[in-house]
Amino acid sequence: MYITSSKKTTFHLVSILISTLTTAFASAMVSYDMDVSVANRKENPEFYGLVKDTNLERSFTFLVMMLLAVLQNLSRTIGVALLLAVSGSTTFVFLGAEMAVYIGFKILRNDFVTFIPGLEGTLKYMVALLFHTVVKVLVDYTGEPLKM
Amino acid sequence: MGGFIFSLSCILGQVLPFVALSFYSTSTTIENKANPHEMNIALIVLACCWGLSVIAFFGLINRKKMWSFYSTKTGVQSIIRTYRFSDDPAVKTHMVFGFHSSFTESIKDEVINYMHDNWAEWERTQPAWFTPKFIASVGDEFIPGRALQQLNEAAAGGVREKLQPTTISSMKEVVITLTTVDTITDVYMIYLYKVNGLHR
Repeated sequence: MYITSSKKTTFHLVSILISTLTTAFASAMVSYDMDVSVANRKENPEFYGLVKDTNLERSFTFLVMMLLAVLQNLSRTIGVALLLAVSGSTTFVFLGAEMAVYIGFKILRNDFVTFIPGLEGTLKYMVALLFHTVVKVLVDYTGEPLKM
Repeated sequence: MGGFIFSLSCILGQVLPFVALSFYSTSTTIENKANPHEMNIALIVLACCWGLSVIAFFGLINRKKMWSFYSTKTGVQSIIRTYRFSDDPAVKTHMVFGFHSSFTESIKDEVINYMHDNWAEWERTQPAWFTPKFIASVGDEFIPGRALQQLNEAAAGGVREKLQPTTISSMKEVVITLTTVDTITDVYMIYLYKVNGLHR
């Protein structure tokens, strides 16, 4: 880990930055594509249509979305790395508690089951747990409004 | 994820490194510690850039959609609202049958009435979305009696094709089938190897 490494080189920082940029680009692209999709906007005009329609506005919005994802990813990653440097168990408890609160909130609001049609029985809840966990991790580390 | 939870998560993401840094700087067990003061400055710069980016983002996006960043609406509420406010049958039916059935359970009677009122019209005009796949995704109770009878009579075996729910037991069948096919293929490959040897 860079924070506790005895050799802190620029190469490490560049590597972290490249990883952050690629993650941010991918997540911003997914959010952007979903928002500007004609099918999505027609299907749910209330929800999609965040990005305006001129080329210039779209380009700037995408760049800002990517920048937000970079900064969110860096902040979150640095936070978790610092906590890990202090104590692995504290980090595990913190991340686990955060996830538990999120899942608990979903259950309390009757919003736990995912949209995927046809799932029944225990599988419905297993898929929902997996889905919410993946979405929370993605959103936490990218800061992109994944509208699914 | 829900707009309010999303925004809260983003803000927490910005607060977390400062809290973690305070633990980090007071910890005495860490070796090769980075300079906490420099890290604090780096985090402040990152947080300021994030704040400016958020302002730029809200300045660029469609103002009418800002509610989605503080809305506490659940997926179910959002789908029911879209169903009720849309005039497009493609959208309305997708909201009901394109998502999990529990989402629209509370308005089931309303949906049944809507489907019964319009089914004959869709059968006559055959819109692009009114496909056999869509019809297979519709439960019997949503199809008017006469149309349901016709669909069953037209189907082989007297029962129309319907999408079956996916459960753990149905997944088990798939997994067992795939594993069996995979094992048989492996055994056959070993047999071929023993008979023919390894070709170079």
